[in-house]
Amino acid sequence: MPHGDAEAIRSLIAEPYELDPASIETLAVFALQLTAKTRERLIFSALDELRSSTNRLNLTRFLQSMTERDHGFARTLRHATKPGGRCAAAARVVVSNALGTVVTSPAPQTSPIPEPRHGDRLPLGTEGELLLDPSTTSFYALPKLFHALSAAAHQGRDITIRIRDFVYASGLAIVATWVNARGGSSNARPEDGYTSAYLKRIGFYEALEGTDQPIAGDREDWSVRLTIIRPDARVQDVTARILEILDTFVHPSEEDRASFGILLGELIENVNRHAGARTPGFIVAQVYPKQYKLGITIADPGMGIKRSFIDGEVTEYKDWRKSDADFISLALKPLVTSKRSQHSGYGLYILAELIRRNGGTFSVSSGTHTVVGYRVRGHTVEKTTEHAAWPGTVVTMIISLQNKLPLGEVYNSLPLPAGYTDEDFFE
Amino acid sequence: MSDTLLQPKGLLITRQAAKQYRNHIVNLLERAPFVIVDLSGIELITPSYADECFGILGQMYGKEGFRQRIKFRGASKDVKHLISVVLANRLERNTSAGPSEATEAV
Repeated sequence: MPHGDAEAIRSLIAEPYELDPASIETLAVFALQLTAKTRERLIFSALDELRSSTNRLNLTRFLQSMTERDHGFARTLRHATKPGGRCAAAARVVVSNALGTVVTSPAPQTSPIPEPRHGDRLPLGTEGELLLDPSTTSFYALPKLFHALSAAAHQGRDITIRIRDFVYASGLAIVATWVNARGGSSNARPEDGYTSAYLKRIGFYEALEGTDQPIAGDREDWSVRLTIIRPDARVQDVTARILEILDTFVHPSEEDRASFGILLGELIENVNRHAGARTPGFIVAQVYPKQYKLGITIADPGMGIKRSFIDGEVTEYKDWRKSDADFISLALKPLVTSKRSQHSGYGLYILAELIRRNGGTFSVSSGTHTVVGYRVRGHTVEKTTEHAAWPGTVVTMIISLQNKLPLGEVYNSLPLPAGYTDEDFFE
Repeated sequence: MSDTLLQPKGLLITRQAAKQYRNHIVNLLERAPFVIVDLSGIELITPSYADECFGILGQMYGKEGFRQRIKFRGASKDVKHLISVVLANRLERNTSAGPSEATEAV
């Protein structure tokens, strides 16, 4: 096939509209008739010229079609995505998506991931694999996911993540944090096109690579994509996006809007100031329209709550004999902080009180325990579960969009020290 | 607007932003006896922001010093309580931890 045809293929893929599947298939068949050298020149120049999400989508589908037909070409592409390979960062994402894998570079420094405890078994998958499905990624299955991660960590540095059926954003935030913390390479393999599309929309592939991405995707899918938490965090951007999503479903009052801002602001500040991690943590949010609920998860690979207290400034809290659950419960109380000169100790208390009063559910996981809190018939319930260790902290919450987030009530529940009144500092 | 009338607006969220605002107030107080902080234009203020800004100012100047130097206006009932809680707790901590913390924090 003459070189001019390669140029025609390249220009078609670069069209600013989505090509139909039949056209993609035809172009792939034509491309496979080119000489290997011409074909590679075509592909890599197209990758270098990535312009838009439509362009990326066309190219991804084109490469998928080619690699399904020619495994030798798949190997060439896989080689190009390795560190030092021919693909630039943006192109690596496209190629990895096409191959159904994501190749991440080893992190220069990694946080320690604990070995599985005696008695841990591989709950899922086979050697070197982590299987994610609804039963391991939902808000209610965090202990199961921690066990699976612990077991997978024991199998070696290179992990294949098989993703079956639909998955919850909550679990994906934890897995992305875990992958970035442990280094090594991770190959994500969704088992169907629907799951693959969701992983792309929620930003899972970029998150596995630890790269920043836009908070909102191209489509209105009512989510905040997996977003890296940074010191000057995009708190306001994330808050604005969540409020934008909420406006689609409900009409939050001024107080509700303030509550969301404060919840997110405090929790992200907590991660920035307490975690002390060298690799990123993630925040993700997803609305579940049928249930009228919003789920938010914030995961960090830092020191965890117990260690924060043990290394802190307050002698009465430095008790190694206490369990992670004891320290989580302590952190949920008002005005309890590990570093009195730097922190104030309101974040997790405000989370717990707001969510309880909203009729939602929250959970805080750190070390070997998860504490889940909710309210039943006016009574506060806290349930504790033991599980394989998570080195940092994970906070998740399910918020009912039908109920208020009564910030004023929560603020007014904060106790003033004896001898003070609200008038002391106000005329 | 007078040099000593401050009107923060919008979302007061992060400690980093609070620290900058606190430094601004401290600079103003070097050439004025007091500042007026009008809170009627804010959409929300987090406990972290209130603590980092006003809590530490309370720790620096003490209860009476703070009352003389910072005059609040336009705070809602909830915001008033929040600021009172963070200030009172900072002042209580200061009593037990000594004055050096505040200096270091600034």
